[in-house]
Amino acid sequence: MNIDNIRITFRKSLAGLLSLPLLVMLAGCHTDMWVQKKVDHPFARSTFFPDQSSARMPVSHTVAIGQVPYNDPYDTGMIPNATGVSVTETGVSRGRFVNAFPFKVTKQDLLRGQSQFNIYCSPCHGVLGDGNGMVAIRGFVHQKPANFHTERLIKSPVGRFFDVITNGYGIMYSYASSIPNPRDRWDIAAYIRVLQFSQQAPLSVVPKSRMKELTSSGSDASNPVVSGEPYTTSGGAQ
Amino acid sequence: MAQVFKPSANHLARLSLLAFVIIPGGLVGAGIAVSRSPWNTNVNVPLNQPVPFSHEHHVNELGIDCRYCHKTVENSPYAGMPSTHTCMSCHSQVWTNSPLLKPVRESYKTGVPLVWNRVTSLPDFVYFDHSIHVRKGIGCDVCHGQVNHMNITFKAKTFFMAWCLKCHRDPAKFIRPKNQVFNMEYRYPPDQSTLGKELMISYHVHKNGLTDCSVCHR
Ligand code: HEC
Ligand code: HEC
Ligand code: HEC
Ligand code: HEC
Ligand code: HEC
Ligand code: HEC
Repeated sequence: MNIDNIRITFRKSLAGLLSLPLLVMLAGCHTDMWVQKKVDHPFARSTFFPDQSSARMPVSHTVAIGQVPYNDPYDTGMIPNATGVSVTETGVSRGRFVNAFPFKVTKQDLLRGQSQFNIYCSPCHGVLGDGNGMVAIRGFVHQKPANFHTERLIKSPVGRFFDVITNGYGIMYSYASSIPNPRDRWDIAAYIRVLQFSQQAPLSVVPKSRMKELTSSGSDASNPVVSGEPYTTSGGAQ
Repeated sequence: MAQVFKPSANHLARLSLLAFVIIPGGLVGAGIAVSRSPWNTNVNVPLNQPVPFSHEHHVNELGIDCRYCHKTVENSPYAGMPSTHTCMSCHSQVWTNSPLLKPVRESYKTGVPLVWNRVTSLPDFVYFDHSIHVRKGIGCDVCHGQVNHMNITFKAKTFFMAWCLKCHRDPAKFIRPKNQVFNMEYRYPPDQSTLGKELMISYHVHKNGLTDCSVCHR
């Protein structure tokens, strides 16, 4: 056997050996089905539309099949004006707020309302609805989020709460896209009523079994006092 | 012709036999190590984002619920990303002049959404659905780690198939009460093995067939 031949064979096998890592690297490339020609997420970037969004807005002036007419009180919280829209001195009015829930409110609704309220409203309005949420404290210097325990809002028809969630109010943005289901908006409105009641409730409606929690000093942190209402644990007899 | 191989070459020959085992083995090992390293999987590597959004800040310090921003996580396959409208519901009032938030204000003005870099992304041939996991008591942190403590979001798990399967083979180890799904600080109790089995029954989780290929590749 010639020494040169051996050298060549050796070089060949060395080249083969060295190319092994290349093969390993190739296995890491994915030209196959990893990236397919489809919109794989509703919010994936699009190179087709000018706003680069693959999720599209409904075409304006169109109504989707099954979409209920927009003037049903269940969807607006309002009894529509005879003329549709009217302008009053307080602004544009589309009707009168309804003052009753369009369905029978169950405990299920209240629990749902509580969870939705805590997600979408409590950052600003606080878990008690007193307008002292965490974000309100850190920002919102010009206009504080509303306190739900003012006389005006206690006397407000429920339709107003539905309408504020749907269309926003003043500097508060609309939550219609966050809470698309009208039922959830009603549930939140119902829960706001619960909060309002809880902050005004006389001690006599507190169940006997829970009385201890209120009168023991340890529970002060979760006490209505925090909201600045005139009811304190010691003066609660009124 | 001179002798090419000296007797000592016998040892070399034997050694080289060994090398034939060690070198490919090492290469395969190195390949695996590389494919599992953060360089390939991006695990624990914070990504550059158009806005340095901090979950630590918004979730942990301000106490905002995941669903304020990831609205569809309970009802749809996709958790969803917050729209610019959602950021602006607060940032129209808070930090209105922050240079960090300039892209958010631009996006609100022009209607062109922010382009976030994906942190977790499965190949397109894998089907995944958030809603079923959320409804059957799998917490966000099981898959995404403690997002509430991330200043810049990173991937906490490999999201390899083997990782999905580890749970699909025996979900009882990971199932928690449904009202704890969004609790990022949840600690499993010592009696998880019995609690998990009970929850499996009450949430109707059937692990038979959960490892079938067609569950995730459809
Ligand atoms: C990002 C902060 C923020 C969030 C979240 C928020 N609000 Fe508000 N809300 C405000 C601010 C600020 C005002 C006061 C607006 C003004 O007076 O210009 C307000 C006002 C209100 C009012 C008073 C309207 C009136 O007639 O005086 C109601 C009712 C209300 N919000 C309900 C809600 C409900 C229900 C939610 C949850 C779905 C919610 N808000 C979430 C900031 C917020
Ligand atoms: C204030 C809005 C907000 C809240 C609240 C929020 N997130 Fe996010 N989340 C974002 C934004 C914006 C991004 C995109 C930027 C990034 O990756 O950091 C994101 C990204 C993520 C990602 C990475 C997605 C990907 O694949 O790129 C995960 C996972 C995530 N969030 C989980 C959570 C969890 C879990 C919670 C609740 C504990 C939560 N988020 C609360 C706004 C929010
Ligand atoms: C519920 C209210 C809320 C929402 C929604 C929200 N933020 Fe914030 N964000 C805040 C508050 C409050 C601060 C400031 C906290 C402080 O003062 O410590 C802040 C701070 C920031 C900062 C730091 C600003 C600076 O200059 O230091 C960035 C960046 C930011 N947010 C990005 C976002 C993005 C992007 C979104 C949308 C995905 C978003 N935020 C949604 C309330 C919110
Ligand atoms: C069983 C594991 C698992 C659980 C539990 C889970 N996720 Fe995810 N999440 C994923 C996977 C996998 C992806 C990537 C999906 C893809 O690429 O298609 C993802 C993606 C995301 C994204 C990016 C946007 C999207 O929809 O793809 C966000 C945001 C997110 N998750 C938030 C959450 C939140 C909030 C929770 C808790 C309610 C949660 N996830 C629970 C596995 C999980
Ligand atoms: C921590 C546990 C856990 C992890 C991790 C996990 N899953 Fe699941 N997965 C479940 C449970 C529990 C169910 C519900 C099974 C049932 O309802 O019987 C489920 C159901 C599913 C379903 C729906 C099955 C059906 O019949 O519709 C899909 C798809 C799925 N998982 C995909 C994935 C993928 C892909 C991954 C990895 C990225 C993953 N899962 C990771 C626990 C997990
Ligand atoms: C629980 C969900 C799940 C199930 C069940 C599942 N897979 Fe996968 N599979 C995945 C995920 C996630 C990936 C992507 C892994 C990654 O990103 O590396 C994957 C990737 C793959 C790949 C591509 C690997 C590559 O690197 O290109 C193949 C092939 C595959 N799976 C085959 C199967 C077969 C065969 C079965 C049935 C025995 C199966 N899978 C069952 C989740 C699953």
